[in-house]
Amino acid sequence: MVHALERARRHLKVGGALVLIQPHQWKRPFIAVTAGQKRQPVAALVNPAFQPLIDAAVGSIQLVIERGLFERIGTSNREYRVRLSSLSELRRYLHLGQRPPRFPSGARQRLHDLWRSRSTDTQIEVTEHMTVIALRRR
Amino acid sequence: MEVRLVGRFVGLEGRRILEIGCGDGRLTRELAPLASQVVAIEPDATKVTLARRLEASEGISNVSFRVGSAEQLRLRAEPFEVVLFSWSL
Repeated sequence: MVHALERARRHLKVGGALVLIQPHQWKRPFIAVTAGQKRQPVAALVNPAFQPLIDAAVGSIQLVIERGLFERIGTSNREYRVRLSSLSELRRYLHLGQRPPRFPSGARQRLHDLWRSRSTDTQIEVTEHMTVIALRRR
Repeated sequence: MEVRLVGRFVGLEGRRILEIGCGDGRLTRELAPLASQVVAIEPDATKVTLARRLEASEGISNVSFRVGSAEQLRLRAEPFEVVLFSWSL
C-alpha cells in the first residue's frame, strides 16, 4: 500500500492533492429494519478479514506523512444510509466487495424474524461509515 | 456525496484528476463534469468495459479509462493536480 501511494505521488504535481475515500477504520455496516417512522435495529456487522487491510491502509497513509512525502489537509467521517427492499437485495449489496461483512451470532435470525413479520412499506436499512482523507504532496 | 465531501478539502473544478480504482465509473461520471480531464484506472477489465459503455451513453468526452492498478501505474502524462483513491487503497 505504501508502494501504491508512492506511485501515485509520482503522478502528482508538487502541491497537488491526494484524496482517499475509504471505509471507516472501525465502524462496520449497521443493519436495521424500517417501516414508516419505525426503526428496529438488528446488528452491526463484523468483518475480521477486512480489519487488517483497513488497518494497513491507515498505517500506510501515516507512514508517507511521517516520511515527509505528504502533509495532511484534513479528514472527514460521514455516515450514509442505503435502503433495500428485500433480503436478496441485501445479500447482493453485502457481496459487492471482495470481503463481505457477516452477521454476528443470532443477528441473521433476528433479521429473518423481523422480515417475516414485515408490512408493505418495510425496508432493510444499511448504515455505512466512510472516511475521506486529503493529503498534499510535498 | 463523496464528491461533495472531497470538495470540502480540494477544489475539483477544472482540474486534471487521476482516479485509481474507478470500478464501473460511478464516481468518475460525477467527477467528469467538474474536471478538465479524468484518467480513471481499474484492474478489472470487465468493469472498465462497463464504465466505457456508460460513459459513451452519457456523452462524456473528457474521461480516459484504462485497465491497471496503482502499483503498476506508468502513465506518460503530465502530473495530475488531484489523485483520488476510490475505495481502493
